[in-house]
Amino acid sequence: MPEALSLSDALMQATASVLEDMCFTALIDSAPTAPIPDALSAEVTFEGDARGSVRVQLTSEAAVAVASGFLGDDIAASTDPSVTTVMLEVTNMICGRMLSLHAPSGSFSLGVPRLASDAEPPPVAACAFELETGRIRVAAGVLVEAEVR
Amino acid sequence: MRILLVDDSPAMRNFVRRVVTLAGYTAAEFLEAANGAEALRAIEATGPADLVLCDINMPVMDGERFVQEMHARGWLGSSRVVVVSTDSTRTRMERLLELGARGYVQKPFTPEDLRATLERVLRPSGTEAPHA
Repeated sequence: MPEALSLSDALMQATASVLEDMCFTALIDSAPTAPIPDALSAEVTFEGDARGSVRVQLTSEAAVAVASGFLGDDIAASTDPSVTTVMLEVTNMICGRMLSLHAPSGSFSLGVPRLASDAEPPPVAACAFELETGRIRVAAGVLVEAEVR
Repeated sequence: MRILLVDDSPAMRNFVRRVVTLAGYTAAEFLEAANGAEALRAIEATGPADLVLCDINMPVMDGERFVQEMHARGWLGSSRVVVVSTDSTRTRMERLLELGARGYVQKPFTPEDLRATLERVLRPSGTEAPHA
């Protein structure tokens, strides 16, 4: 059984593996964790042994780069519908991976990812990275902490 | 080889198809379905797929129910199912493997992760290593 990571470490590692393994996008450096103004935002909720949400923000240029990497195709602009599709999928994967790293024995179900324009719940953990193009920020809000078994 | 990709995300189906092709399965014929019910209809209409790569969290019919249906219809002998999902719930994984799924790959995965699983799962019968 793998050792459980703190929520913060799990969030960082999940973000890195999704971007690097599936979007072929390198993380260049850490960045301030304050919300990114005018960013594209997506959120997914989860419930089970803990209840909460993960919100991903990407600057428009980062969203284009991430979608291009995931699809293996050159996306021209952040208004391309495939950018939204990839962003929702990335959010889903970061959340799932974070939960498996934070609570390896936990049982969770994820909601349907959605684009988020409403106010973000106060995060319990957040991380942000500069990418080769643009920036990503990921925040996790947990309403009931998981009991790591 | 016929490979059926079952995922409600067209972007994810596209990604998996690309990785499988890069893994060397260049001559594969790909079929796609957005949920378990569509996948069952595709198999009914066109015959078994050699390999089914299936998500769990999908609308209409999820991956767990799909594997149960495949098991109930006796189709898991002719179609090898590998679950590809963000869901890592241990009890669910064990249940799916007991029903007859041949492998489980958690998203996110590297192309090497998927290739290694496919090589193990598609190894001829009798030479297949036991599940880890």
